[in-house]
Formats: sequence, C-alpha cells, structure tokens
Amino acid sequence: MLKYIVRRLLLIIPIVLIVSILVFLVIKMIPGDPITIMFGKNANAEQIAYVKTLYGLDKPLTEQYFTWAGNLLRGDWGSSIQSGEPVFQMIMERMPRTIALCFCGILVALVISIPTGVACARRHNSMLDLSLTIMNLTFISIPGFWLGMIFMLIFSVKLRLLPTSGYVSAQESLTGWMQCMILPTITTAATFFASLSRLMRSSMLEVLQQDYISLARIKGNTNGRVYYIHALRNSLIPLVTNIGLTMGYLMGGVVVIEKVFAYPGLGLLLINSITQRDYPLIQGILLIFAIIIVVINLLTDLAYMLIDPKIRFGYKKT
Amino acid sequence: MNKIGRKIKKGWRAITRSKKATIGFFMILILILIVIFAPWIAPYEVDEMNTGPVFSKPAQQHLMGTDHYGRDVFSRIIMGTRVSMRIGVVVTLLAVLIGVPLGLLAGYRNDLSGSFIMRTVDVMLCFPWVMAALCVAALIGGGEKVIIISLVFAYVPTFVRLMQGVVLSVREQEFVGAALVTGEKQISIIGRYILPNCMAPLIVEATLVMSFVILDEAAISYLGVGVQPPTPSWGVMLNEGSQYMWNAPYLSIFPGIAIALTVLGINLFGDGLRDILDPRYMGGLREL
Repeated sequence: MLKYIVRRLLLIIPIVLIVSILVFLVIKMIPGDPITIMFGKNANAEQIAYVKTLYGLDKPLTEQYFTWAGNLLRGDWGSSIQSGEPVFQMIMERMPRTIALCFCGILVALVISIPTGVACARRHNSMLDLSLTIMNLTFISIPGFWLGMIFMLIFSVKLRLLPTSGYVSAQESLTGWMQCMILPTITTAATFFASLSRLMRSSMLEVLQQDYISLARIKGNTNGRVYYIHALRNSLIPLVTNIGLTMGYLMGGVVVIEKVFAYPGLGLLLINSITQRDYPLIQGILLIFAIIIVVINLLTDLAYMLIDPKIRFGYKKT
Repeated sequence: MNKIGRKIKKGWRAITRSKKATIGFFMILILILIVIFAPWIAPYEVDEMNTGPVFSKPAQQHLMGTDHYGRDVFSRIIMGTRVSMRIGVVVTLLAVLIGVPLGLLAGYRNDLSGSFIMRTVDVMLCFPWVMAALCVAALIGGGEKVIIISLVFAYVPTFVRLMQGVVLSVREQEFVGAALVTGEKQISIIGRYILPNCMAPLIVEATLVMSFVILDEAAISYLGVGVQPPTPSWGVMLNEGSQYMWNAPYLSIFPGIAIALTVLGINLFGDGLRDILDPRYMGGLREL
C-alpha cells in the first residue's frame, strides 16, 4: 500500500509541471501586449521598458517560464500589480475560506444525497423514487448562482433573516461567521447534491442485485443493516470517483457563487484580479486551483483504498 | 422514403418508452420552434428602448416587465434562446468532432500514442478550463468566439474518456475479431464496427454536455466577461438584473427560469435516452 501511495504521489510531479506550463501559456497566449493593456495606450516607451525588465517580459518565453517556475518553487509567486502585496500571501489568506466553503458544501450535499439516493434505490420505481428523481433533475438544471440569487432574495431581502453578502471571520464572531456561511454553503450544496444523489441511486441499485446482498438477507440481517452496512460501502465507490472528477466543475461554480454573495475567497479574488488585469495574481490563482484539483484527485484515489478492501489488499500483494 | 418513415416510427416508439424522454423531447421541440420563430414571437424589437415605462412590473403589455432601459424582458428572453442554443450546439458539436476521433484512437491503439492521448486528457481534466475561459475572455474582451473555444477545450476530455472506455470494451467483442481475421482494414473496422456501437453512450453524453455548456455560458456571461451586451444572452440579463434585485427582482427571476427550463428539457431527454439505451439504469425495461 505504501508503494502505491508513493507512486501516486510521484505521479503528481509531472501533472503539476504540465499544468503550470498550461497556466503560463494561457496568460502568454492572450493577444496584445499585457503592458499596453495594463497602462492603456498612453504609456511612454520608458515606462514600458522599465516594467518589462522589472517583470522579465523582455526575455525569451522559455527563460521566462523557468524563472517563473523556479520562483514558484522558492515560494516567490510574484507580487500583485495592483496592490503590491505578495501573491502567495494573498492566496493563502483567501484559500482557507474557499476550501471551507467547498468542504461545507460537499458535506451538506453528502448528508442530503446519501439518504435520498438510498431511499430511491430502496423504493425503486415508487412515487417517492419518481418525485425525488424529478427533484434531482430540476436541481441539476438550475444554474447554481441563480439559485444563490433567489435564496438571497428570499432570505435576505424579503425575510431579512440572513446578511445579503459579505464576510465575518470566525475569530471575530462565530455566529456572524455561521450566518454568512449559510447561504453560500446551501447554494454550493444545491448545485452538487442532485448529481450525487442520482449516482448514489444508480450505484446502489446495481449493488443490490449482487449475490452477496442476497446472502446478507438470507443470513437474517435487518433491512437497514443490509442497506447501510453491506450495500452502502460498495456503492460509495462511484460516488467518491465522481466527487474527484467533478471537483474542477464545482470549483468553477464556487467562483460564481462567491461573486454572488461577495464571499471573499479565491474566486472573488480571481474575478477582481481579472477585472484589474493583475497578471501575476491571475496566474497564481489559476495555478492554485489546478493544484487543489490535482490534490483532490489524489485524495480520491487514496479514499478508494479506505472504502474498498479489494484495492487495498490488491496493492499489498504486489 | 418508406425506409426513412419506418426509421422515424421506430425512433419515436423508442422515445415514448420513457416518460422522461418524451417530456424532454417535447420541451426541446418547443425550444427549437422558439429558436426558429423568435423574431415573430417576440412582441418588441430586442434592443428597442422605452417600449414602456422603465422597470414596469410584469403585466399584460409586458409579460415579464421591462428593464432599466425600458426594454421588453419577454422579447429579450425569447431572442436569448437563440444565443444559448447556438453556443450549446456549436460547443458540443466541436467537442464531439475533436474528442471522438481522439478517443477512438486512444481506445483502439493500445500503444504509445493511445497512452499519450490519455495522459494528456488526465492533465486536461486537472485544469480549471472554465476559469481559464473566464480569464481569457476577460483579458481579450470576451465575446462568443472566445467562450466557444474555451468551453470546447473544457469538454473535449470528457468525450475522449468516454469513447476510449467504450472502444476498449467493444474491441474485445467477437465480431471485431472476425472482421480482423477476414482482413478488413483498421480504418474500416473502426468506422463500420466500432463507431456504430459507441453511438448510444455518445448521444447521451452529448445531450448532457450540451446542458452543462448552456449553464457555463450563463455563468461566464453573468460574470460580465462572456457574451457582451446588448446581445440578449440570459447570463447577461442576469448580470444586469442582479443590480436591481431590490426593486425589480423579476429581472433576475425570469432569465433564470428560462435557463432552468431549457437545461431541464435537455437533461430529461438525455436521461430518458440513457434509460432506453442502457436498461441497467432503469431496471424495469426487461423487454428491450
């Protein structure tokens, strides 16, 4: 198992390397000179030359990449053009908030989707199954950020129960933090739980047809035990894969949700840096998002081993 | 003619087997009709200002009210169908056209080129394309073309993965072996035996991807970097509407409903198709 983990960890290196090249190129491939875009057409030649040497933009592309990547490894992610603050520090300040939002969202989504998925599979083709299926499809079809706007309209504008936007840190006031987390969390969960619930239903249905489930029934296990102890574990595997695979998608959604609620995470920082054309910051945030996705994919693979003894023991032998 | 008629009949019978597919089919049909006849359905010109008082509430004259320029929201939503569907269809088609051949190659050739394609796909799946789309669109000025290109990048890996998986299983079937033995060329084996067997999952995936693309476009346009105003994209309308959330909430409500209904129609159809084509998901379709 250790061998597998080490191999899986080593595989991250080339992936992160290529992703970093992609991030670098996406910004470089944008037509037009970033400096003229930054300063407008009025910049004089001296200013341009100064900024070019300052940011190393006058060097060949490969050299620029290696300098950039080398600095990244040393923890120097450049500094924001707008505020002058170090990019790495800005990112690290915001990242916990985005991760907290994603984590709470996924947690709420799982808490809703596992029981509903199991219930659908248990009463397959019943009214409950049908209505939950329709509900899931509807939620999949609703744009998450729009749902956020509607929630805001109902709970903040009309009922005045929760703050419309903004952020209070947990150290400042725990209840304040919870209040401003509720709507973004529910919105994130709402964009995610429906697909998980559907997946749970179909994978549970598949597992329930297997022989070992019949055996568990014959042995006299109660229904609850058969579903939640014997069947659930195996049907969780596709769910875990799906969480890993859709992480990129979820992150994209979180960016927009952060914008709706003015939640000061990485997403809002990205949008602001885009409007201010803050290239070092944009590069840094894109890279950190990619790294987060890579790490989550790794965690997904490791989570398999926890859930599925077949994989665990399979690797013990080799 | 008779043959085509029979095929349509057969297809129709298959679709009506699933309630979801039937409802989805009719929703998509209505959408297509709206796309075709949009200029005749919309009571006002899409950019016509001051069709009525600014911010007038939904009423008989303005079914969904008017916005901050006094433009008729209903007309804009109807015309917006064209924008969303156009982007959805073009992105999906391009992603299929690029992703399917690559997936076929990766699945059929189990050598270096195959694994090269798959590793590339793995990396591409780690890359936040929607965010990259956002950056590129914002920095070079947005617009439909940029959105389309970036979203194609985002969805090509999905099709490559899907096709590779399906081809791997189809390749092992006996009829492929038989074709190989009779000396058929590889390209004809792929075209005549493997591709037709991949069509079912491909069609299902394509419909579902199309619904995602429409949602993505709305999100990117909502952020103000996608389709540019005054083009009546639903995302743009939501962006404009969100600024008047307090006094004119209907400006944000109707475009969202339009997106949700469109995506729901496509999802219902795709989901129903999956039930029909892959009975495992339905469990009840024993007669197939």
